[in-house]
Amino acid sequence: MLDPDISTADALALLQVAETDPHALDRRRFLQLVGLGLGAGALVGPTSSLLDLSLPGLDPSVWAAGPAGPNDGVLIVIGMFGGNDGLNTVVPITDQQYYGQHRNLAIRPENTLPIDASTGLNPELTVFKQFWDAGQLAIVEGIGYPDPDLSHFNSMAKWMAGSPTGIPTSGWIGRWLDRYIGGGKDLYAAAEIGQSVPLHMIGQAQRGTAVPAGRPAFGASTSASDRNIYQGMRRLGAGDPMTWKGRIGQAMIDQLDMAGTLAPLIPAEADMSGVPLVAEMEVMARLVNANLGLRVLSASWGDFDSHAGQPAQHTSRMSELNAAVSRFFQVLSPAWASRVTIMTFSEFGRTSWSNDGAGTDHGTAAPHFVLGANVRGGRYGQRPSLAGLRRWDRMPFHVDFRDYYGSLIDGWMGGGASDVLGGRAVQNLGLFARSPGTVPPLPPGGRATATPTTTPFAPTAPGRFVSLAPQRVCDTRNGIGAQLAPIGPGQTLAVQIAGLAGVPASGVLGVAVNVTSVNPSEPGFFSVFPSNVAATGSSSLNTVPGRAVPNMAIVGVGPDGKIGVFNAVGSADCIVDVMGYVSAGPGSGLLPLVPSRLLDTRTGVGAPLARLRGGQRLDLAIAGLGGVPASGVDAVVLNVAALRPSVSGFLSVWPSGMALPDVSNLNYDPDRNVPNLVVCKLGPDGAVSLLANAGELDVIADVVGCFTSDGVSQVSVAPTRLLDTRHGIGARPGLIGAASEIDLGVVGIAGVDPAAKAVILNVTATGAIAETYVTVYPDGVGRPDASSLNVAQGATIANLVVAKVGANGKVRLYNDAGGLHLLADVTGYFI
Amino acid sequence: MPAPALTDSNLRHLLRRTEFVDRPSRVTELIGAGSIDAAVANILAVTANPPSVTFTSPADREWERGQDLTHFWLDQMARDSARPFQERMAFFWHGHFCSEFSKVNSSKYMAEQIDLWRRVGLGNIRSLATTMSTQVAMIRYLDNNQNKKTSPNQNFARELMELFLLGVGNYTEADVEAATLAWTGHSDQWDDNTAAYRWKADWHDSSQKTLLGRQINGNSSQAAWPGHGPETISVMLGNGIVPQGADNVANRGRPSRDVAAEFLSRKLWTSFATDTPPPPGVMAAMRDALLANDFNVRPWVTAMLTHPDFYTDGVKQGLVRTPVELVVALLVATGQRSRDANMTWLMESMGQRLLFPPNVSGWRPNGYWVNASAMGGRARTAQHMSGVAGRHYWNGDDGRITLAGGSIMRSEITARTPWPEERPVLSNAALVARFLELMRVQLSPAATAEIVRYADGATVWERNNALLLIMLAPEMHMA
Repeated sequence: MLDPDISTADALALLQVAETDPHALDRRRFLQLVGLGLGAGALVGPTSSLLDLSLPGLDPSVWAAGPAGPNDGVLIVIGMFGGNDGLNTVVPITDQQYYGQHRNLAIRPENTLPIDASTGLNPELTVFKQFWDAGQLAIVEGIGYPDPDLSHFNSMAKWMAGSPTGIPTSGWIGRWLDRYIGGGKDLYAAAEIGQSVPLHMIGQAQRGTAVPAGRPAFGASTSASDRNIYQGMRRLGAGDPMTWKGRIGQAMIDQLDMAGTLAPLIPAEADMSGVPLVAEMEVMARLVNANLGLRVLSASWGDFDSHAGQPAQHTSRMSELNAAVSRFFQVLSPAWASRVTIMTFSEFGRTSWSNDGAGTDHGTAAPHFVLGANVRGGRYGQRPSLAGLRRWDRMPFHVDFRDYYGSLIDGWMGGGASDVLGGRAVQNLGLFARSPGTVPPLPPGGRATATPTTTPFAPTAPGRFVSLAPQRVCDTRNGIGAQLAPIGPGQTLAVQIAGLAGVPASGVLGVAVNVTSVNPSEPGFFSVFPSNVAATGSSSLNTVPGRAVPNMAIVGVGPDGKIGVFNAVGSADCIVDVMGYVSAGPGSGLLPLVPSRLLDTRTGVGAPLARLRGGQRLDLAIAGLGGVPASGVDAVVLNVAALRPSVSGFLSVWPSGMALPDVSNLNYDPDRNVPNLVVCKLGPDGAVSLLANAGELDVIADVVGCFTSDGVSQVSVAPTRLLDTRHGIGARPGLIGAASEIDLGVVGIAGVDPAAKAVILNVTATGAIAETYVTVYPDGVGRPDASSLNVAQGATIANLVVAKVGANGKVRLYNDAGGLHLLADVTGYFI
Repeated sequence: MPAPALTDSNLRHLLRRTEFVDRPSRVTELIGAGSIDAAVANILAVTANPPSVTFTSPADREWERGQDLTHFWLDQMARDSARPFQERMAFFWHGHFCSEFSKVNSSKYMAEQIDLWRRVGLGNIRSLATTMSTQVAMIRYLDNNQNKKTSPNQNFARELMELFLLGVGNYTEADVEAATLAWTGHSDQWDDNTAAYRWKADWHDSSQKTLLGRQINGNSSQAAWPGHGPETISVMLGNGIVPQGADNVANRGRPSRDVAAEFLSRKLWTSFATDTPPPPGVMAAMRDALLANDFNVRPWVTAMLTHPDFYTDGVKQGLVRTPVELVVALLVATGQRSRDANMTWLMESMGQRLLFPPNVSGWRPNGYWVNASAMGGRARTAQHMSGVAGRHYWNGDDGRITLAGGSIMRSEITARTPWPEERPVLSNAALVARFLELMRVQLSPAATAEIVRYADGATVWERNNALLLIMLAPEMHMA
């Protein structure tokens, strides 16, 4: 819980790269990305700003590091300060000694996330469990060092130095940096996200840079008057770098350089999570994406020193860790997945015996995590035995931390471990399945499994939408287009799309389907995705026993013309109806609209003021209303909700003038309001028809977009979670209260193009403390009288939302009453 | 070795290190004192009863009361204390015997602890440590309120030896265990609303123990004895011996009081002089002062401040102002009260918040503060403070910039003749000189020249940013 920062003299030479450098292209592109807001460093002396340079051929981005090459691994280091309780992180669920010694702190097996017969993860570590299931989490157990020191100070210095003995004057990553950089100083090969540079990032000649965890609040302005001030600061800052006064000046200049480069890359603090580690790892992901040349990024936090009150304290830490790693992978561009590995460390573990303050004391050996797409998942090292440990005894260690570090340096960071670690003959634990940048092959048959994305699913090329007469392509209850059996737990149903129901056999990039879960045996969820991607911890609809639950999905289609429907738990039947597809060839584009109410049987908008009766068709005019053009409209995107139905039933929506097709768009039940997004081709008269099959109910419909010949094209991305207010992902953690809203950044993230006009979000509400509705609309406009999601008290319900993107690249999510949690997964966008 | 001379340079250096700033009034007052020794004696002549904070925020608003305490203490440092060294020394103790406000969770008891440093900070280290150990703030911060004989909690006893008095490696785990048990019983009262200190006799282990080679609680027929914990401090600073099993080989067998005197002296040097180890001369003087005076603070501090080793160029150029010290210097230069300046929210971005040491080992010197992101925090703070000074600048005819020595009116800086042109009245050099004069700050000619050069290149309205550049000059960030 400290930074034993020992400073070293800075080397001031800059990297120079010849024009013929193969990486130069990346730098020029980088220049374009960040415009002219670049700092100059000491390229031509302290007094000139790069902005003033007009010498041709001079490459301003020379000041940043060489961009990381396609086979240069990036290491993310997470420090847990205070001593993490390894026993409650990787729980030995069959060890009676653990339960006897950890006593009131021990976590029951049924409360862990089991990963093998003798091991469960702390229940907060859900994303770690996903990586385990994908074979991409390595757990190295029993890491420590000989003659362990129980002082935070000393033990952390040893871990950071990468040496159990001797006076710690440099750190292991710093010494790696010394070898990597060679003769030049590079501000950005290694960065600590935080206020000061810790020892592990300080080498004998080089050191990492401290990058703030937020947009720089000073030094990023481009106004002439501010640039003059910065110029004055640069002059004042010139001084002998061997003196403290000179170092202060140099640090001020560095800060100006850094602010100019980072300001365009990093969101404002208000746009990131309020949990510091989560924001720090978001910043890390953005820095990696910007390809500034960073090879090591480090952040640390605490407090793990739980001498008392451990349960709440440790749970918070684990929750923060999980949220931070989740957020990192959400923001990280998929192209980097095979080039990034995350590792953890801490100065020690904790005692196996708890004390009476519901805490533990400083320990010794502990497990740590290494995770990433190219990690060879599994357990490494050896679990320390607790047998015979008395009250003040500590666990033996089995893996020297030098071998842990060495395995990372040799396995991921280009080698040289022995030099970095004092000449030790490092025992490589073999933590990696592939070298950085190597992409794993698809499993045989191309069938997706329930794991995080193993292959980076690149966004599809933009496609045009072709709406169809709605048609059923899959029904597991009667064997249409699929097995005649429910989808089992953890199973994925491959559903053929291309070649059926009017969808061509080839040239199909994506599809708009309505998926319905029927007769699920347990509450859980479906996830719908292209067949060549694994489930990513996003969900498409939440299953509820005793109800049929529908939801639309607009997803990419795999190269085999199929989509996958993954069922998480229990067994459930599945129905899939196709509404249209996204074509590589000609078709329509989306005109996104601010939601506008076109139908409300409660107030007589769009239909007579009367409840809709079962069997009574309602024709709804669309063209020319709510922002929809009067002609040339191919299909409409409506959010339809059934309110206060009298019995269970379903609603169908189809182009008016056609016979009623055998499809359902919305299933309703007597005690609640149910919404669903509907994409429906318009009839020749510019209208759609609605029919409920039973009972009587009120119906509302909000138009959110329509497809026309010159609207924007659709791109599918790997489904990725952007928002989870339970865990502080995408917004501060906590319920969204009554009449409250949050802003969500939806572009420039997860593969969504910054210029996207609309995004396709699956929005899930959970934990609602009262019946309410949610409205999603673009930021920068007044909130429309429309709803995107109706939520019953205590329900978990999802709806697909096609949200027009606001002026600042955001959408707003508004909650009307009570309080609830919201999650949002992006599956595509329109551009 | 000759005593350091009472030169202007030496006196200003001494004042900057002890009173945060070399106030011209103090320079004038002390330049005729006759000797550095006399000047030091004057600086150390603190009041016996400094005032305590008066909380203006409501009783149940702990966070806001913490702000009250912060503003109060910063004002004491900057303007309200006649002898600011009292506050500077208290700040040293705050960064050494650390407790942190959010864990202590009580403005009343945090204030109690800070007042201990202010009242007794120049008293005796043994009594300082003993009193601190039985106050609620420290008891809570290091979990001694969980320390009972049936389930000992080592946190406090370990840090008492490792970070507070002896230094790591100068004791064994057995000593930690013994000290832990000796300190059982000192707790706070949770089950009524007072949360006051409470002695819990049934938690106490009064058995005989061995600490640093000495038997403590020799008369173990005594029932639960509150003095048993303080006895450990007496041993550490008294007749303890560093055991043969201690990690620090060089100190094995040495008296623990010698080791403690050296450990504490290195810490004092780091806070007041520079971050490299004290040279043997001043080190011996400090250590001997502690040992000869039974750990009284006054002779110890005097030994350091009067020693020639304190006045070398290496020391004069060797210490970066911590964020707190910088804020105090800016408050003094602008003549603002802390609450009016309202800059405490910026301190976290500089890396230091008063009352919130990041962990039990406190803050670190020099390099800890000098990195790009912390410098960004300083730049924002300077920007804020220069804005505070100039907040009345646009008030029509009454526009002014307010600094410590008075105001400079807008009409002295620019004039509108002939209307509507705005032209400078004071030249750039004169303007910068006036700012420095009113701030009562001296800058080197080189830095001054650069700031004038900025003004030369700026528009007539932008020249006032010279004030900001003065605050950003690296010299302003040196202690």
